Amino acid sequence: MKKWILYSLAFLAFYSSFAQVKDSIPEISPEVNVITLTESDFDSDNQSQDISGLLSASKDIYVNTAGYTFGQARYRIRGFDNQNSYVLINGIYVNDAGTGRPYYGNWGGLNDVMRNKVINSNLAFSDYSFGGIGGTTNIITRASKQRPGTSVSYSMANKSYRNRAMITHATGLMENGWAFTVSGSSRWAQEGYVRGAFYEAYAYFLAAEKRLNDKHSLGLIFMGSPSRRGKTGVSTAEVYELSGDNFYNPNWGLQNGEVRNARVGTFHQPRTMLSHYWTIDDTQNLTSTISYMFGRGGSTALNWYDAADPRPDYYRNLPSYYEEDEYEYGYLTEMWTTSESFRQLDWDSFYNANRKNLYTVLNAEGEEGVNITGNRAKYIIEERRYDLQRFDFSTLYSNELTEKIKLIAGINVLANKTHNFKLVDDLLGADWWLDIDQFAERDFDDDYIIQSDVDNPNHIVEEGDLFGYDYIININKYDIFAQTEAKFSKIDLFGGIDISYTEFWRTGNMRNGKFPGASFGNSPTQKFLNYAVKGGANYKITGRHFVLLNAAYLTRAPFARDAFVSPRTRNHVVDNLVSEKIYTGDLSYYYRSPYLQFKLTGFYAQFKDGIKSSSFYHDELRTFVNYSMTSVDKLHYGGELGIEAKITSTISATLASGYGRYLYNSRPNVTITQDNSSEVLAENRTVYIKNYHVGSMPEFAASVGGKYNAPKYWFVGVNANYFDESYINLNPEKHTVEALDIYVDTDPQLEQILEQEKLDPGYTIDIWGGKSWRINDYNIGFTLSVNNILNNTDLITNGFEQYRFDNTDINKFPNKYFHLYGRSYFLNLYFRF
Amino acid sequence: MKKLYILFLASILITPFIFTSCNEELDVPPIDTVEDWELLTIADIYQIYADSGDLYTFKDNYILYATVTMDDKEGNIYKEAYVQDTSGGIDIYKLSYAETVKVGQYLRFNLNGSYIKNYSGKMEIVYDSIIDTDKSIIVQLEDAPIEPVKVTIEDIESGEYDCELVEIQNIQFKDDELNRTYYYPLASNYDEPNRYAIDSVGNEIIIRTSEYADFASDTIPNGSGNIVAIVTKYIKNDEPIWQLLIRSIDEVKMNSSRF
Repeated sequence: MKKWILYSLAFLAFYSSFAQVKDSIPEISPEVNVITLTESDFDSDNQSQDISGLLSASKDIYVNTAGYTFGQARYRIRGFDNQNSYVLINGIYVNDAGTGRPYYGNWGGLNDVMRNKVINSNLAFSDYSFGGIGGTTNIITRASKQRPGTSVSYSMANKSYRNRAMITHATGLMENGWAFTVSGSSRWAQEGYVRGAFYEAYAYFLAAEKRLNDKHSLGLIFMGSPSRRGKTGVSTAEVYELSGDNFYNPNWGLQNGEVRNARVGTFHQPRTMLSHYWTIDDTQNLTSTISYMFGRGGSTALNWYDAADPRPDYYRNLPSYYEEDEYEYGYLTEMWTTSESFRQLDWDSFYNANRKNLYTVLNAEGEEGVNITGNRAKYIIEERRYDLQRFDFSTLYSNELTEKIKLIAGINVLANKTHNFKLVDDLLGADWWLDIDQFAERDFDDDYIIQSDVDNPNHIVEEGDLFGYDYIININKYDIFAQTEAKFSKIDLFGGIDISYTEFWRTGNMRNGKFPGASFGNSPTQKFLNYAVKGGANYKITGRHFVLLNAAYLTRAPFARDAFVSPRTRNHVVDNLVSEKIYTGDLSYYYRSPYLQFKLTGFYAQFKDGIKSSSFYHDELRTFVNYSMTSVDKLHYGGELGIEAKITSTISATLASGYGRYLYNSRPNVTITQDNSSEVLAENRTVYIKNYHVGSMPEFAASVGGKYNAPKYWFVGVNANYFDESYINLNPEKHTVEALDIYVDTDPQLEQILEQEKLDPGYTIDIWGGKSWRINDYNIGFTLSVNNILNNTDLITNGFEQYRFDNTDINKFPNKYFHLYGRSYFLNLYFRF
Repeated sequence: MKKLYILFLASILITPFIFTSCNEELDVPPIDTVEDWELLTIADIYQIYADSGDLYTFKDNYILYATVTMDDKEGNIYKEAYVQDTSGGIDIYKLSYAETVKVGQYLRFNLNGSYIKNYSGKMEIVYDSIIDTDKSIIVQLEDAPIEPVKVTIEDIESGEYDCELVEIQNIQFKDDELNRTYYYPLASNYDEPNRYAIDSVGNEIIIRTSEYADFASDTIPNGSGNIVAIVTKYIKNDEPIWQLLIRSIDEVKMNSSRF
């Protein structure tokens, strides 16, 4: 509250300083030139969960700053998960069907052809879709809309990649009615900002469009972004301190003197789209697109059997585990702090263990009397795959009924199959891996239960063989919407309605020994009928003062990813699987003049009956453990402020800030299951987290910036950013009666267990600049941005409580933290003709 | 100025919207309060023993607050600890792991499932049916050690300090013990752990040391001085034989010459 008062005073002071000098400000174009750094590396994360990269092109200064500047610190507008932000490419909804999240990696490296975006933030009216409550971004890539010419660029950076080369050529619409665009790029780093994290990515884009006649055009697009990258990790404060590196990466080690990363993500999911553009008449348009996407997604990881945990930062490999043992504590501390090889993976030891482990499998492959002897793998690299096949169809009708009234209606169909399985990627010198469930083996003396696939028991797998689990998640969604916008002299109004039907089911290709009756074949189909309504008004007090009000109510089918309690082994869905209900609204005051833009917004969102699922690899149980929280209600409310002022014709200043409260406001149920045990660890426990923070992002962020735009085609700018009110992500199990039953109210542990850690505030300073030269028809230029120029590497952007929890030793599994990159830069050189 | 005014109005308009439902009291699971459970002192436990006899089992949640006076770190006892409150001292046996509690810790015990046992004169709270004693023993304070009470051998023999931490001043090992180790192989198994000490007026007391104690093979000091130890007793022929358990040889300070 105190912060709010200060903050209100600050912006009032800020504003009044402009008010005093306004007379000297010359009238300039009201179209405020928003700083956009689209050459940033936000396209770089294959599995990015962040809307940031796209929003940096927004014209709303708050949205723009939140996207680009705050995005670095994992800030999210209104605290909304990016499931709430719809991303469209040529009108096709491209968020992942199973999770609802947009995966930017699927078009990473295609910046040149993805420049053309229409961004409608939050509840604003979109010309392309009913949209999500977090906004809608439509990326227009059709060939005839690409800027004609050739662009060649090379970029240097020290982020996830270090080099990028890109070439794009677009013809524009030629006289013969054809338009073509080709683009290709490569991004690479032997090692990015984080040690052990290599990067190897390519991208291609081909678009052709033929204007058949005045009314009809056909467009075809084929695009893809194959990539391979070494993943980074996340660790505890102890590990960061011991290693002296806040970006310590446990995933790599030296093999024959070379850095090898055990966790490698490899993706290639190309998409092809065929569009028909029909201009029915002056006021009516119909755009229809079919899209097909397919390909592989996968990520490797170590697996081990009857062997020591290989991960260097496993808690038993750390000094803190030996606090009572002076010798071991001292030894581990010494080794951790002085020896890099000690604190990384020891590949040689995996090979050594695998080469001398003769073992005989009796009744191999389920054949009586067939015994196979060989070196059974203790350690392997497996690849967890999620291959995709997705078909989309969308048709969008728009009609400008009158000059003031517009009608938009559309149908979207989506059919998605995600094939989940795992493969042996590398046996690390062993002869084979036996496909049984090692944890079940420990618990049950039963040859049947331990089989991953009872139809193929005692299966011996070699490199490239499928094992462990094999299932398909099928999702179909049919969606129809209509919306209308009416603009009158004093008020603009819009309203829309959306109805959708979603169904999903699991198809098991393996009959799991623990769930023989619930793992093979098709599961029952889950069906949901959903609807959504939204509307808004923009009341024009004068041509400069506006009051905007938007509201929406929707129901949303659960995402398949959250619905199955343990999809790797069985068909079961969480109890009480119902649609989530969301009601949300915002109210803004907007002032616009040639020299000043000011927008202050208050927002409110209530989510009801959500599901929050987490799946994590439990290192003690050596299996995935699935947490499914149902009946999760969340309340998000807060305010947003964006000010942009033209101080002179060349100097502009910005202030952007968001402050919110994102709180749980129900007591959800949690069910905890593990993949390799039929035992449900906990069922329908009440989680007492009312008024705890949803966490994992700053709730307060502010940025002050200035920009100098020189008349001679160069510019330079600076931003100072502040982040605060960040709470870490909770382990729900800690907030159950069952986890606390050994305690009474006066025990000192209680406060520590129940406390949600608040992270320290932090600030960063970013600078950027650029210059371009025009020589005849050639355009040459560069842009440079340097983030966190003070190299503050101690800023924790996010953290989470480990899901492992020992109520008798509450500090045994400490919180894990992510740090903001230290000083990082992105330099882009381009040449256009 | 007008602009500023409108701005100000707009801010006021929006502010209450932002601050709806500021009631942010954090949820707490409905766990038991300390009042839900019955509080016992060590004296109460002795009384229950007196009233109900040996092997009385606690079948409900009872709370005992006590401070660890001796742990098993030095090996003189194993999976065991002595604890004390203002009403007395008692032995805790047996803990799930060695070194689960530490001297100076102030603990809350849940006695549910444990029973009282008189082990040849030594009073114990026995947890042998509890798989994880950590769940029954909750640390309240990490470092709140109890200071030993200065007593004489006569005081000990009065029985008032049974299972408590004491300091005896002006004491020395008997002449025929000199040059022996704390645990010393002898013809009589009974006497191997027992070293005899006397005070200046001739009262004797046993210093008893396990052969697994870290200092079992250390030679006893030959001066006179002070010992900090736990008082225990052993009933033989219905007579208590008093003995001392040393926590650490650092607490056997015999720097003065023999008397």
